[in-house]
Amino acid sequence: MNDTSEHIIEVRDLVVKYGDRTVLDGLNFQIRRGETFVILGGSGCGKSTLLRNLVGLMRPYSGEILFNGRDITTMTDDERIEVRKRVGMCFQGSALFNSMSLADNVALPLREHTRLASSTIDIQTKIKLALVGLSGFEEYLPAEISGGMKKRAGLARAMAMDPEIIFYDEPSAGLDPIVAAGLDMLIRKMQSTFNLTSVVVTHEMASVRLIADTVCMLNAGRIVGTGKIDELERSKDPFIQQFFERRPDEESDTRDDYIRSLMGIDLPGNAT
Amino acid sequence: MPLEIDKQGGAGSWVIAVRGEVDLYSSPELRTAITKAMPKSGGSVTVNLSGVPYMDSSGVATLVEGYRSALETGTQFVLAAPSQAVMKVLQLSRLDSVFTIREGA
Repeated sequence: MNDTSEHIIEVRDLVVKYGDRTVLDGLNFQIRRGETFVILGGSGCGKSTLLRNLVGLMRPYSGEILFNGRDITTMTDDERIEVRKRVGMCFQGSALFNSMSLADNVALPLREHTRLASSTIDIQTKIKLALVGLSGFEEYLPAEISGGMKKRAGLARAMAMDPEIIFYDEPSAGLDPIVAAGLDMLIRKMQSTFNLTSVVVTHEMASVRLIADTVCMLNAGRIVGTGKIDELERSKDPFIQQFFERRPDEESDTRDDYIRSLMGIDLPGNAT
Repeated sequence: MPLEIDKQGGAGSWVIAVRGEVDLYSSPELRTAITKAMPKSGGSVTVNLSGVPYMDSSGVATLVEGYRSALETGTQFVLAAPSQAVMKVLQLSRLDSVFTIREGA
């Protein structure tokens, strides 16, 4: 908790490629310490790829990702492991170990990475599960609880090491609106109590309105807008307007293009 | 900020003054200090938290362990002068009503 600079993360000229295909194309943004930063965009726009790069699970093609002022893209594997101890990750599918109880899932990083006494870890684990409303479920296996409870258990595990920042990949995906709202409130509560920075990848607008301090909007691997949600809602950018108005793409293929793609031939009478 | 722990008192009545951040890496030291200060029976242990600007859940868990030991030995266990940040963590863990908390050091 010694780092006190305003920005916990700075991304500079980030380019990510899969083979020859550019997935993220020259991104620049900063994440303030203690804010909830939402990465918003349609399916396939590069949100999850960006998240994997921010967490250090991928190395980019070029550019810098500064975590507390240090570039994680040039770190050794050992240095990255040290950084990851200060970072929590809430995976879309919760990624709990199915053969372990919820308590063991939460306790695992503490047992692996700290010198804490097992009695301290036991209490800490109970506190984390209670924070996410899972008191009394310590000995349950992941298969014995609902999807919403799994998400909360995933959050408890992400918080196990008291991280400075938590990354959430689609936290509300697959949850009913009431459970999703409960999870949003939990994200807010963690932020206000621990001054925890949250980075949330989502396309759930209801959730964005509830939790976001800053929204970064991606389209086709580029940032099309960054700011508060109401600033983006007033944006003149065509993609942002389309996204907020939930307008579908116009069909780009004409009937003739479609038939050509099916048959591999031009229809008679078409001189294209 | 490394953790500094100072123990004063005697005859079963101890004040443990803590200075620094209590986190995953430093809380074992606090645990050792509380365990060593805990009388076999009766008496009191006061943990002075006025010099603690930050405490994570391992610190809270360590205080819970101290509280549990104190219950077993019939010792009075008091937290003194926690900062607002530490109080917030105790409140979120719903432990602010469990511990005996004294505002002044």
